[in-house]
Amino acid sequence: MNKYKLHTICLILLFSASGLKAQEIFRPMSDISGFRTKLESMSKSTQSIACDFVQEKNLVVLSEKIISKGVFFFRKEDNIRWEYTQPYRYLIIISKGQLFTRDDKNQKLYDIESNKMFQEMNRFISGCIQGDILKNDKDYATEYFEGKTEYLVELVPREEKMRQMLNEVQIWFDKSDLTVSGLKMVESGEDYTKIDFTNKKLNTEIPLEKFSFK
Amino acid sequence: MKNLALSSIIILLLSGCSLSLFNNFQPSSLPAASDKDSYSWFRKDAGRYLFQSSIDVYKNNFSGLLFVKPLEESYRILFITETGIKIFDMEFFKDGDYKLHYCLEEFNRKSIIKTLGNDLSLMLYSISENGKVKMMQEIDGRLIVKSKDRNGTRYCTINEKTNKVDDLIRTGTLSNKVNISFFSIAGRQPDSIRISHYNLKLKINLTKLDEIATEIPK
Repeated sequence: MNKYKLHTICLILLFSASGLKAQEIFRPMSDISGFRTKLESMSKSTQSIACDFVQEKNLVVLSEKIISKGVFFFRKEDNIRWEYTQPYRYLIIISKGQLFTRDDKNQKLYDIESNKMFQEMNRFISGCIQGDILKNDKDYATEYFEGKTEYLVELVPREEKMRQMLNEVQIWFDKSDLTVSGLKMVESGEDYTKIDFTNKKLNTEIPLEKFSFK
Repeated sequence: MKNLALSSIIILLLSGCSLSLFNNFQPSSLPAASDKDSYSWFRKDAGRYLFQSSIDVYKNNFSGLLFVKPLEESYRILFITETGIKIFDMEFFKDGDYKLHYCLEEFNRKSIIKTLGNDLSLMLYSISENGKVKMMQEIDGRLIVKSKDRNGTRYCTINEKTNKVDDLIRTGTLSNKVNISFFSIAGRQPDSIRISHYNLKLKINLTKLDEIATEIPK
């Protein structure tokens, strides 16, 4: 599959979110290849995505949550902008192999290939956002489930070293339109980060300036 | 002879430090508070503290959220990146001990963890739990609380209005000198905290976050 097609599919999936989900019972998915084919076909028509997100960091042992909010932009082929607005303004832009971050005091520019840890983190994060992670059978054991209204994909890292940081990734897809309704990253303890995406807008004009490092 | 020379130099250096710190102070007749924790900005009855954080270690900068949770017998501190990745999780006890519950492998260097552990412990428990506490007064009238721990001596400048620590300096024979400054407008909670070392390239800047606006509507 063309790399950019796959990216787009997964971005569409991820950011066509439908907000908070009701609990439902999942069983093994009956037609995995059909599910993947539908994802691919969805990506073809999408040039850009804009949406809101709510990130919930759950510190299970301490019974505490930390809430962050913001907006997300994607423009083909490989421009991503994460803009946190709460609890404080923080910007992440990934474009042309570089990663730029900025808060009210500092701004930093990284060459993504220059740092191994950063490479791994970025590979994981963009893998979730862009969906490459669903194809990564070498590093992750993937299981597919379906419920009444949603699909659920669970990914478990194969490497012990990776599992020390990340035990499992769960991605929920709305069954009606195959859009992603949530993403959950479970850590080696019970703590996890869950992200919900809302107010998606597909194929709107997003100026390239949104992805410039300034 | 070599050892004697070395010892003399060390004694001279240490004496120099002590003299410079004591120059402007004299013993105070005021008694130290019986509850040593009363000088600290961190309270057990507070639900939690959340700070926007920046940690500079040599040429590296780490930014994220520093989460402080008071527990019954300790404090738990977690450092988390903006994207939710946990960097470290440590627990701090009153006697100065700390326990590392988790640390991202790339951040897990013994010297860094030890320094961070000592610094954050100082931030939470400004007055040492063990040993004598002496009250001193600066020429301009500011009150200083002097206490000792296993790593050195702490000097805490107490704010007259809040009765909390404004500034903390710890000196040590083998450990690095560290300075912690607390800033508060209303005087109830620390609005910002700055931790810096005199001879180590490690700086921590914390700015308290207002969490009221971050709640998700049900």
